Amino acid sequence: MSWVNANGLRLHVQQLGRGEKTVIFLHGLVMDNLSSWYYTMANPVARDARVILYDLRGHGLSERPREGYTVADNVADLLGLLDALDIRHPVYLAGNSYGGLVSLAFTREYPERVAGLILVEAHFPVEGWGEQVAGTLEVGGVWVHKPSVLAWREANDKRHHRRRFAAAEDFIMKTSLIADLRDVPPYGREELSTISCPALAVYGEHSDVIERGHDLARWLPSCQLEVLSDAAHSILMDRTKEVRGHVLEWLEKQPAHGPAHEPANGIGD
Amino acid sequence: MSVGVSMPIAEMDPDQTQSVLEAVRSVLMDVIGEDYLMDVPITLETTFESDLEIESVEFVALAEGLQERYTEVDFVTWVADMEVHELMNLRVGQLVEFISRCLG
Repeated sequence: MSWVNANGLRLHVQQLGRGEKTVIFLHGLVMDNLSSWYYTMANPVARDARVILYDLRGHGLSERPREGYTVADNVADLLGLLDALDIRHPVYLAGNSYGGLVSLAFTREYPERVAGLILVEAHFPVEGWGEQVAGTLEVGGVWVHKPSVLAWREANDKRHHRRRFAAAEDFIMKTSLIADLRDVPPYGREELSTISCPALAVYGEHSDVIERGHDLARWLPSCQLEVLSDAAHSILMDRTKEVRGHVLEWLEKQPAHGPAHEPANGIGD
Repeated sequence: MSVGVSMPIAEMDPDQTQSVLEAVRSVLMDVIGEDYLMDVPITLETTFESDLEIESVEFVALAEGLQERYTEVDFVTWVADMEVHELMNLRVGQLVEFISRCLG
């Protein structure tokens, strides 16, 4: 297994493929880890690009500190990862759900490091987002102890289920995650309109965050929105082929290091 | 289905099959720990998810360990051609057969 020390933490990192483009994959919150991207998208993309997947802090096989789960912490981890791997050219960030939120936050902070954005069911913190997500996770923490859920866990008493539940409980109940998410400052049109790199946004028609997709299409200066009909939030796993088709087609059309970063003589670094 | 076994396991070189199976077992030990696997038999029919009960992120680490061991094997293309349900229902024998086929 491969670990990279970034921002003072040990992160589980997987590297695949090679190519002029570098694509970094960021997964969703709590129950997710890098495997959702690995099983669906990373390998097809890695046929023509350098691909890096990592478990966000607290997730998968990465270290789970007791504190430090602000979006700024995630942004600092990504910067530390790029620096640790000595990746200096602009990269494509592919974020699913919360991973999209981190990708947008990183791009606002370090636009020179980002060639483009692939946003699948991406959240971003509109007014009240932090409170809503924190509340959902608090309910989740209680939910895992409901009799019906405990009965399911007993009937499906498999090692991987036990580990997943134990990790999620520890993460929700024993770290600063909920408090840190509650404090995420909201932003909107003004901030998003400063993100100039090209973006692809893919959402499900019936997703609970479909409005974020329309917001991105309206406010990002260069955003292509694809809406999958009769689909909800979990399109990466449920509608993999369609999402993959949109991502591969869009990525193929993009220059290696993004439009603003192409060297005049055509020679990449 | 791209993971379909093109060469029946019975027709594969038994020494190579055994050697690759041992490699899979060894990398699994590294990834998920010897204590757990001591009590679980690993055969060509064993499934990673239902029988071994390994987490998907552990399967990723297994693939990485095998890629390091068998540098000539193109895991990226193999996985890229599979759908999620195929990966989740994968048997040890399918992985062993794929590696053996690449080794020739």
